[in-house]
Amino acid sequence: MRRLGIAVVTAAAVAAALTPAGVARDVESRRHRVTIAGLRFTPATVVAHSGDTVEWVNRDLVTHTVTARDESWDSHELAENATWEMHITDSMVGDYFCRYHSTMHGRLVIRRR
Amino acid sequence: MKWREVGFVVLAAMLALSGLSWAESPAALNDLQIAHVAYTADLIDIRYAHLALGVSKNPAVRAFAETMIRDHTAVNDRALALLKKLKVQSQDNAFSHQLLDQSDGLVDELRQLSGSAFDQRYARNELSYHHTVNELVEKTFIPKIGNPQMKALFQEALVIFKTHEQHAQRMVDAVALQR
Repeated sequence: MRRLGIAVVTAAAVAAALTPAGVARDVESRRHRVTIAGLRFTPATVVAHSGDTVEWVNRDLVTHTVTARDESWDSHELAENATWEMHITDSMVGDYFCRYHSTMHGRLVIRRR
Repeated sequence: MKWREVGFVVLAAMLALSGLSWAESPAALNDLQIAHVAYTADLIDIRYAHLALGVSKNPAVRAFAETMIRDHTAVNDRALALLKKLKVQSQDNAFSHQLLDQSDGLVDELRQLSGSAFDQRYARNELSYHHTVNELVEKTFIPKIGNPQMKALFQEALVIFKTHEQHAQRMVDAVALQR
């Protein structure tokens, strides 16, 4: 029994040593949700780390977009109750808006791990 | 004079300033007549937007017009779905006809214009039209509507239309720069 316990601990240590760094980051990554309702992004600011995922869900009856200020990323049309998600990377532009409603703005504050 | 009457006097003054006026009192309408007026008001703005897309080359004007078609169509579709769910029909009324008659006059005026003159007239009208209709919806229609589902739809639509009003102000500012 004691020998089995030592084997399990050893296997775990070896596995941890061999785990690629990227896999370790995936374990730590988070999902964030932004709700679009009343022609607002809520929360308006999301602090996310590279490797995280941000999901937008449109609860308005009108169509919106989630579009980077420099248009480097874009959800394209999000109809009522549609969702769109994006994987965060270090180099992304964080400020975004809705193409159809110029008063709607949001921000991703992107931090490196 | 009661507060509601004071409100109508203020509203009448605002309508006179915006170029819209009507003999029929909007306060006398029932839920189904209000639904008809709102649907008609949406159709009128969609009509203006189609005209703008046919005439204007200004990107700000064209983007605004496309949003008006998209949003007002969505609101009207939702209104029709609600009426169907409630198993009722909107009721045609003189107030809706007054809105249509007045919009005919503006369409005739817009058709005589082109270029910057068209853009500025369209933009100014969108600002005043949304402001006037938003006041009507917020201060007269929503307090008066009895059906809770219909009231909720009007409240949701008002948020959209207030954003349109802000957007229209930006369009007015943008087309003023092209003079």
